[in-house]
Amino acid sequence: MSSDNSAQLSRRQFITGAAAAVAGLTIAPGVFLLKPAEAAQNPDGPRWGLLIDTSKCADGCTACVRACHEENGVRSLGRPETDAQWIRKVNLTDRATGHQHSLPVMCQHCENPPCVDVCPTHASFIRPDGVVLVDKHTCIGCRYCMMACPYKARSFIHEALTDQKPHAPRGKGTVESCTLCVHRIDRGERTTACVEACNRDGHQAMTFGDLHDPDSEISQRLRNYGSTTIRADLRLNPAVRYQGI
Amino acid sequence: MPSVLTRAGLSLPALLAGLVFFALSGCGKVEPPPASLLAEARGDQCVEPTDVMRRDHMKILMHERDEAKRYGRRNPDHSFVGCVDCHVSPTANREDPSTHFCMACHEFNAVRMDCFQCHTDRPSDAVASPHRSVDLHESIERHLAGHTDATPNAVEISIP
Repeated sequence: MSSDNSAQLSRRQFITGAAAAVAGLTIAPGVFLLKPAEAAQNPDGPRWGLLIDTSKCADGCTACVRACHEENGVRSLGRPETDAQWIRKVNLTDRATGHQHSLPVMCQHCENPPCVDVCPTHASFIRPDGVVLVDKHTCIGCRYCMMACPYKARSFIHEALTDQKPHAPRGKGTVESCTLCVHRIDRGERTTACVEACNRDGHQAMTFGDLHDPDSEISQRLRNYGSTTIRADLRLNPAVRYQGI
Repeated sequence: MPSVLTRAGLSLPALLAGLVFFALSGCGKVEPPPASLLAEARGDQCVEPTDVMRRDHMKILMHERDEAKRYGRRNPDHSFVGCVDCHVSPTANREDPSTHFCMACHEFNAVRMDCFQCHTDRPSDAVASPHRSVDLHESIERHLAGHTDATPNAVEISIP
């Protein structure tokens, strides 16, 4: 009897305590103040990132865009309004001085990605190595992530596709964006299609590497020279950093 | 009259049980299609025994898909691309299921699958088939050209 009582008591205490803990974090049904991180990043493992030196990025050069789309089989369907763009060139003009920049913008692989926060099916996710991807097996094509992304980095596939690349499955009704050439990372290669193309053309404007490794080229360049991120005010901590803007 | 009812009452459960048994007797088995529909695989040996693959290939693919996609932990033995590379002929065409290893069996067993809505249905070394004549390079040039006119490639931003 006594053992029964104590068991009941501890169960009741446990339940009351748990209810109080949940109530403290719940504002309304389904709305929580705190939410456990979906997939915690591994601080000991790598975090892949890009560094783009806009002073070396040539105006009118589209080598990175061409290489990316070729690598991943991104084709034009003849309708530019809805054609997918994994990477685009942006031209900036400072009106006061007339100074012009040209820079590529792709998925910035944020540490705190808004696209992951808003995804209702957990299809938008961040890998432990910091690569932000869409799991097309669970993507329902709602496009919340496209609206949440401040960099306009994601595209929706409107039409049935054929002839995809084996390493880059793409299909109608799902959202997609730059994968940081994750198939190359998983194969052990340490470069992306865009970086490779930029180096091949002799611009050397892009560097790919591990932001967590203090000895990597990208970390050393980030340490020695100033860099910035686009919309740093949003505190998303993107893995794509820029110099010269 | 009552004897008829009693007989019906007795035989109904037996009839139902028989029906259930008949319905379930086909479960858990995969009927291989006629040999003429099964294209020869290119490798020497499959990654698992044939009866395991016939029954459980979807479980293996599904089970390891999240590991591969979400964590980058890929098992080359159980990769989707690996299956297609070995089993599908470079000249196969999904629209004609008899030429395509996966589609032939799925068509025969009347099991719909969505894999090829996103994944390529042909091996890495497939030759460009005439019915898909859009050249990738040409298409990318068109893509880039299209975006320089009105739509948002080459976005112009002015800092005030």
